[in-house]
Formats: sequence, C-alpha cells, structure tokens
Amino acid sequence: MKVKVISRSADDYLREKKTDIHKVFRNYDPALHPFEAAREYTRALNAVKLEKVFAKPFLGNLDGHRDSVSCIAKHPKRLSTIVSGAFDGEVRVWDIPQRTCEREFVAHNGIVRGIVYTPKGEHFITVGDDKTIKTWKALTPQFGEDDAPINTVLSKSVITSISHHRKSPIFATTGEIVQLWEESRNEPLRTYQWGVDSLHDVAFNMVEQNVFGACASDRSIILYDMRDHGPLRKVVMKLRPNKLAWNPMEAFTFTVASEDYNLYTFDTRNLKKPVNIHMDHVEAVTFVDYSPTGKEFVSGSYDKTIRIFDGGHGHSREVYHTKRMQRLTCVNWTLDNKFIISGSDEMNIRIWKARASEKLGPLRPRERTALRYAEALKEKFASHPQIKRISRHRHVPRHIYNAQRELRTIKDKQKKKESNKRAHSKKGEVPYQPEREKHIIKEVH
Amino acid sequence: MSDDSDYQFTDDDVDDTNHSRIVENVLSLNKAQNLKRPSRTEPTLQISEFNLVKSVTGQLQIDDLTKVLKTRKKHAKVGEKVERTKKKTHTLPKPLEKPQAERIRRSVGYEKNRFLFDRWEAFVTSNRASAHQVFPLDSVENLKVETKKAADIASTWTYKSDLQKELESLENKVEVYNIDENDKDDEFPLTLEELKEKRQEAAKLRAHQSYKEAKARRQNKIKSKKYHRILRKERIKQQLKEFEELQKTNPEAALKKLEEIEKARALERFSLRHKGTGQWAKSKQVRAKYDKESRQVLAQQLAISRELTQKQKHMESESEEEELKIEESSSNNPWIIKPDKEVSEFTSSYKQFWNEQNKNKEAIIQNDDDEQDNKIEEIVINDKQEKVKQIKKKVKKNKVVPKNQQKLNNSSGDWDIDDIFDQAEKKVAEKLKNKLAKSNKVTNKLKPKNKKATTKNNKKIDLSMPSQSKKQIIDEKMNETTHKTTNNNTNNNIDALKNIINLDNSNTQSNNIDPEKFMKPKVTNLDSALPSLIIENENNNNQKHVIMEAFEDNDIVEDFAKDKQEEVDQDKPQDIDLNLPGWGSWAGTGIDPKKQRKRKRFIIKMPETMPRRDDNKGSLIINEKAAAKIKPHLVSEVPFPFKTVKDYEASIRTPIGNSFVPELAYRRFIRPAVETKMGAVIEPATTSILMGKPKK
Repeated sequence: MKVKVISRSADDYLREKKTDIHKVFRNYDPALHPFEAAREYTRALNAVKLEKVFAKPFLGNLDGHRDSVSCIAKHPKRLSTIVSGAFDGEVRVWDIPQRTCEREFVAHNGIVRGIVYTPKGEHFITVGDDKTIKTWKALTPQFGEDDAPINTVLSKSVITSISHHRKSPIFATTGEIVQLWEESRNEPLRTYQWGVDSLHDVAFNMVEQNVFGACASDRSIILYDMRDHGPLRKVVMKLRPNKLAWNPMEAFTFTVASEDYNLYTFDTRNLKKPVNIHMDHVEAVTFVDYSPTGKEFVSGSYDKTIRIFDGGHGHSREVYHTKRMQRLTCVNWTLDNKFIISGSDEMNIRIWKARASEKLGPLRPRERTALRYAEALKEKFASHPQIKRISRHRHVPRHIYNAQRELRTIKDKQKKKESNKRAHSKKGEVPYQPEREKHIIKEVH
Repeated sequence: MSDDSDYQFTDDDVDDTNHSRIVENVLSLNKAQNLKRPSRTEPTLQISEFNLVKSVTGQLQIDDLTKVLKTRKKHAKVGEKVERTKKKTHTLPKPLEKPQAERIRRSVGYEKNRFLFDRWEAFVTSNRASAHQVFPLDSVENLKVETKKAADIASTWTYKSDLQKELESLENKVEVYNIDENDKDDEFPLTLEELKEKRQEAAKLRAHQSYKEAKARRQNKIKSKKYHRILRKERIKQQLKEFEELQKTNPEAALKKLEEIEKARALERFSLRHKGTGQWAKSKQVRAKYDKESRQVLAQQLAISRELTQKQKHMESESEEEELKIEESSSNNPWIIKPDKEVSEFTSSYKQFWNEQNKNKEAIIQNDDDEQDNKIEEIVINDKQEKVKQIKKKVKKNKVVPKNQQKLNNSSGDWDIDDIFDQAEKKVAEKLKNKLAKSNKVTNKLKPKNKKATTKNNKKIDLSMPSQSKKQIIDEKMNETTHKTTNNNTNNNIDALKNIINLDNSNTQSNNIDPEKFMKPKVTNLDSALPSLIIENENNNNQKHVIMEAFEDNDIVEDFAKDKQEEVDQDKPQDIDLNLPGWGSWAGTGIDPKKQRKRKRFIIKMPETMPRRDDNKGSLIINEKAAAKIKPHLVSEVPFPFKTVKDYEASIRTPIGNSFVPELAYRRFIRPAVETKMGAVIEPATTSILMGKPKK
C-alpha cells in the first residue's frame, strides 16, 4: 500500500542565513483583511499608551556649583563635554556620561556672563562682570600645573555676552557696544554702535557665518554683518527680547525669546513681522536654543519649565519640569540631537532626553523596526481623539496651571473688550490686527 | 682735505634729531602757525578729529615746479599737461551728514545680505517639505582623500627582515585610499584669486554705495520748485499704486493707506495753498489787470484750489444719472416701452455690484471708465435712434398699404414689442460685454504693472512645494492639567445635564407638531468613498403589500409601536437623588420624610420627554446608545493638510503594518522623519551644500 505523507522542504520556509529576513507566507489581498484599519488603530492606541508609560525624560543632574548656573557651552566636537559658569565666577568642566566634574576654578570676579568654545574645541573663552575676556585651555592641566588663563584681555566697557564665529578665530561681545575681537589681539578689531542702549545678547549665524544678531535693551533686535557693512537692520518689539538663536540649517531663520512670555521666529529677509509666534510659557522666556537638525528648538523660562517647540508650530510639543528645578537660566540642545542640558537658578545642571520616551542605547533591528512602526502608527492616527488626548496630555505644576488660566481670562477679556469697541464704533475704526503684527513696533533701516 | 672733511657727511652721520631741529628752525622763520602732524605710536581704531592738521612741512605745489619748467621750451608741454589735468580735477564733495550716510550704508549692506540669504531658499524649502531626512548632512568639504600607505602603517607594528622587505617590493602594490575628515584648515584660508574676488566685490559695493550717496546729495541740493512738484506727484502716484496693490493683498492695510491719502488731501485742502493768499499770488493779482499771462496763471491756481475743495463725487450718483438718462429718453420716445422689470432689476443690481467692485479703484482709471461709458452710451443711443427710424419706416409702409391694415397693425404691434424686448436685452448684453471687455482691459493693464511691482517688492523667491509626507499637523495647545481636576469633571457632568434639561424645555413647546409639516432636513453627504448603506428600494410599495398580505392576521404595526414605546421608556433618564443618606430624614409623628421640601431641592428632575432621534420617524427605532462606545474614538473633523473626507479616509484605510503590506513597502512606510547617527555631531549647513561652489 502506498502511504501518502505530507512533507515539505525546509528550504521553503527557513531562511538561508541568520541575517536574512524571515520568509513569510501571507496573502496581502485586502479583501482577506477586512479589519486592517481597526487593527492598526488598536495598535496605535497601545503604542501611544506605551509611549506615555516610557516617557521619563529626566536623566540626571550635575551638582557642584555653589551659586546659580549662569551659562553653559557645548564642546563643538565632543558630545561628552560641557563647560558651565556660575554667578560666583566659578567655571566647571563636566563629563556628561560619567556625570562628574572634571575641573573647577574661579575664572572671574562676579558673574560669568558667557562661555564659548573656539571652533576646534582647543580653548574656551569666558567673559565676566569684571570686564575681562579670558581664554583657557580646554584640556585639564597636568599635575602641578596651574589653572591659569592663557590670555586675558581687559575690555574698556562692560561685557554681557559672547559668541564665536563658526570657523575663523573671531568672536563678538556685547555690552555698551558690540565689539569684534580676534583671538590673538588685545584690542577689538571693530566696534559697532547704533543708538545709545546697551546690548545683552549676541549670536553668530552658523550658516551665513559673517552675520550675527544682537538683542538690545531698548527692546530691539539688531543684525550685523562682520564684513565692512556693520549694523544692517533693527527691529523694535513691544517687549525686550532676551536671547537670540539662529537656525543651524536655515540660514535666514532665527528665534528670539522674549520678555512677553512668547518666542518669535523671524525670517531675516522680511523683518516686518515674525514668521511665527510660539506661545505657551507663562512667564518671561529667558533662553532658546535650536536642535542641530534645525527642526525644533528648546526654550527655558522664568516659569521654571522647559518647553520644546516644533519650528513651524505655535504651541509646544513637550514641557519638562521638576519640583526642584527653579528659574531656568540656560537650556542647550546637544549636538547629537538626543539630549537637552539645562542650567537653573538652584545651582544644578540637568540632563534631559529630547524625546521623552525614546529608548537610549543601541537597538536590535527588530526592536528598531517595531519602534518605528509604533511611531508611524501614532503619526497616522494622530488626529483620532483618543490618541490625541493621550499623547497630548501633560501634568503641570499647580502654579503653571493657575497662571495659564489667568492668562486665558486676561486674553478673553481683551478680546471681548476689543470686539465691544468694534461693535460700538464706526466701521473700520477699530481694525483687525493680526497677532503677528501686534508685537512688532517698527523695523528701522 | 681737512677743510673738505668738515663738509663731507655720509648719510649715517646725519643726526636725526639735529636734522629735524634745523628743519623746524627754518620753518619757524616763516612766522606762520605751524603745527606738527602727530604720529601714531600704537594701533587705534579711531583717528581723532583733532589730529587732522594742515601740514606745512615739505609741501610742494606742482605749480611751482611747472613755473620753473616754463622757461624751457622743451618742457613747456609738461606744464600744459599739468594745467589740463588740473582743469579736470575737482575737489571731492563734502561727505553726507553722518546719519544719512549710515542709513545708506546699512540699507546697502542689508540688500546685499538678503541676496546672500536668498541663495538658501531652495535648500530650506526642500528640507521643510521632505518626508525623510538623515543627519548629519554629508558635506564633501571636510573629506580628504589621500593614498593610504598601508605598508608604512604595518611597518610600524612589526619588525621586518630585509628579505621580507625585498619580497614586498616585488609584489604588486595596491593603492589604498584613506578617506579622512579634514580637520586641519588650510594655513592660508584664501587663495590669491579668492582674495582678488573679494576685493572686487568690496569695490563694487563701495561703488554702489557711492552712487547712492551721490544721488542723495544731488537730490538734497536741488532747489527747483518744479522738480519738487514732479517729485511730489511721483510720490503720490507711487502711493496710489501701492494702495491699489494693497487693496488686492491686504484690504485692511489698504483702508489705512486710503485714510492717509485722504488725510493728505484734506490737509492740502485745509492749507492756504492755491488760494491766492500767498506773496506770489498777490503780486500776480496786482499785475493781473494789465497782464493776460498772469491772469491766466492765477485762474489756473484758483481752478486747482476749487478742484481740491470740491467734494468727491460718489459713484452711486453717477449710476443714478445713467438710469435717469435712460428713463428720460424712453419717456420722450413714445415708441420705446420701458424694458422688462426683470431686466431692469438685473441691470440695476449688476450696476450695484459693479460699483461696489470698482469703488476703491484709482481715480484716473475711473475717469477713463466714465469717458468710455459715455462713448458707449452714445453708441447705444445712436443705435436706438436708427432702430426707431426703421420702425417708423415700417409703419409708413403699413400706411401705404391699407388693405390688410389690421393684420399688419397687429403684427407690427407684436413685432414692435418683441423688437423692444430684443432691443433691451441686446442693450443689456452689449453693455455687459463692453463692461467685461473693459474690466478685462483694466485688469490686463494692471496685471503687468502688478507683476513688476511684485517682482520689485518681493525679492523673496517663492519655491513653495507640497510636503512629501501626508502628515497630520496638530498645532494646538497641549492638554495641561494638575493632579486635582476631579471636581471639574463632576461639574461638567452637571452642566451637561442642565443643558439637556434646558434644551428639552425649549423643545416641549413645539412638541406636538405634524412631522409632515417640517421641511425635509437637508442630508449632508460627506463625500466618503465608503459604500452608502441605505439602498433605495424601488419596489417599496410592492414589498409592503406583500408583507401586509403575509401578516394579515396579527397587527404588526401595533406591536411595533408597543416595542418602540418600551424602548423609549427604557432609555428615559431617571431622576437623580443627590440627598445624602440620612440627611434631612427626620421622622416622627406627622412628619413624612419623603414630603419634606428640603429633600426635594436635591432631586434633579429629569424631563418627562427627552428628545429622541426617532421621535418623528414612525416606523423606526434608533438605538442611541449603540454608538456610545465607539463615539469617543471617531474623528469629528478632517485634520489639517487633508482637504476632503475622501482623502483622509483613504490615508487611514491604507495599512502600513507588515501584516498587511509587503516588507519593502513596510520599510518605506515606517521611515522616520529625522534619522540621526548615534554619537555623531551634527554640524550646521555649509555653503558647500549649495550648488555653485566657489572657485578655487
């Protein structure tokens, strides 16, 4: 008798090598999968819930400063090193992965106002309230060597901030006037003065490297050209801009953190009105820094929170806070687009993840695809109410919640008053003014 | 020799200080004031204005030299040449006032930089639109390719005998390239060519600046009144042009501008200009008696003033006049009957529409319009007259042939009316046509101007492209709460209840209304790709009949009504008792706790009849609770980048998981928007990304 045996060759269903993808016998005919969308929706819902489960952005803090942290500088070539300055004149160099302080010394009498690394990262330059500009070696001194600056320059006027050119050994400082320095010289190369007001922040453009912007205390933003043009244009706003950051991927875009709780993104070629207004903070925004991809930026505020904004969006996508973190003085996005480093009033430097639920470290290929699939699903079903609700829900401290409510009532009141005024006056007497034009007073040529 | 030696100096022997003293002494003989030119000892940025001294030492005038040369015939030509060049030369003009010069400098610099920024437009827009980006960007600029000396590297590690080395040399050498990041920048950052280019550019810039300066200086100097008048006129024209543009792009701003223009006009009206009160006018008045020319000039001035002070005519009045004209003509002419009411209404409404459209247009264009209008009207009127003549002729003919007078009369009468209707229609059509043509003309005229203007004003390049990814953009505030928000929820619930109750109260008044009387609600069909579930049954009646036959014995209609009533009763909300247990339930003789007034206050009464979706639909039960579970999961509106429900549905229906699509498609679907390399520093963009690399 012949017995028929069901048999199949292993070649049909086993992969040849371990690196090959699994052979899958599947019929992709959509008629056979009537619940495709529903199944994916469930997966998306699970993914978004898991995202919330894993959202633990706070990684750790670096403590050691004896006074509030005033400024932080990132090493341009290495991801593991940062330098921070404090209000008591102390400067510390940190090793981030080890979370240790490598080096500490008192650099200035009074506040350290600004720190920058030179483009190659061999030195860093600090400026302080004692009107000095000091250059230090980035390497830790050998045993027996002193922590002494390799160069000290005495400025004639107060210096409030510093920014370094991306390539050449030139840096700019602000104070009563804007000064342009060469690393090896003791006299400024050039000084610029437009108006009588002092300036408190300066930032070089990273892409069009000869342009830099400064914030002045007369509520204006001034653009300069390092070549022989000098000041180019000035925008006067309703309240003081605190900090300016250039987009590292878009030559003409910059964002300013303003005293009126908002951030403004400008296009350099059209300064009449900002391209976008980013709201959500409930107190003055003190610092802003772009992610190295130029897609997002992070801002620190006096309201004790850090917020992350998408460049094109008016509202933040993330808010970070802890009970002990006080008013933010500086927030930096690391150069690998993964972390955020914040310095605040209560002497600590904190390290956060830039994406709260991201898994750190190397991923297995299957894990990576699974995470990406989850990410894609979340994006696909983003506007479904449940998914939106879960992904956009945040707990905020009581004081912020209350402040938001207060601000909302104030805004509503103003709106109502304006509409009443409009209703009771001649047509066209009370014109509609777009939000984007409200905050700019004028553009000065 | 010894005498000679007293006078023989070598250069070395001259003492500098002695020499300068002697020079000073000699100069002091001159008695003129004589300040020394200061010399700088250390580099400074500013040159003090006090150091700009007219120097006296060693100044030699060329004239003195040429004078000497004149005596010799041979050198006379040199003297002439010097004279000629002297004629050509002129002293440089005084520099502009500092603020003005600075402003020019700034605007030139800004323009130049804007041009530089514009180069990035394409890169930036493509980045913004791209669905997938990898960082760090690979910039070619920092890579350095050089032959790797593999042998050398190996030799440093191991000791090789001579034999080995010889053997190696016999082998074929394979060149290995080593691609490294170029950390060291060149010692000389700029090549000679680049330096030259840079200098050229600087020179160009300076020239540009100087042109602007010269222009400003020239304009400042001009005193001619006529010039300024022309300038002012130009400015006004420019303003009007801007206004017109604004009107299209930004009506609010246009309104503001219009106000400004009006204000300027009012100011001019208000001022005493062109009123004949000035010095010039008075002198002219004195002369006017005898001089015809001055009279003319004065008249002109007065005309201007009258023009200014006259109230601006409104467009509406003009249109009224037009209508009046037509009426007059029609009333005068017994042959013309007023055009049909509808037609006239249409024309009038059209006119209104047209006027509204044109209200804010430039005055000049209006004038043109009016002229053209008049012409057209004349033509139309001429046409009318001709037609009328024709009609008269026909009538005459009729008179000539009296035989079939009645018929003809009738027919002619008919014909007349038809003709008149035709005429009116024709007229309207013609007018419309003309107006359309005119408006087209006007728009055509305006278009190229606008284009030019836009190209002038918007130096920004618009390269906008649709985003490659169909990603939903949710730009709204996060839902930020504190831990204590439970109270709010209950409040919300109660509010919702109250809402329902209120709604019901308003509904109860109109409860008993015949469903047939209602207008059928318009069904809003969302343009969905899903098949509609409701299928129109053509044989509806037929089927009904069949069913009726089948269930002849039992009254299904009654049963159904009962069922429905049960369903309604089930869904009816119960009263909510908010009394706390034990609270207010005093009991005793003569006290019924259930009848206490205070207790009643805490019972929220539900309305007896709740509005239901199937209230007026006799043979239909709608289970409203069935969808309650799925309702919170449904999207209520189309999210932003999608425009239609169809598109959005399609995007949702397309699966992306690998259980539904092949592996490769899956990989493509789940690519992240931003991909970064672990542990790599992401450098900002460099100019090497742009297409046109600088020459080296």
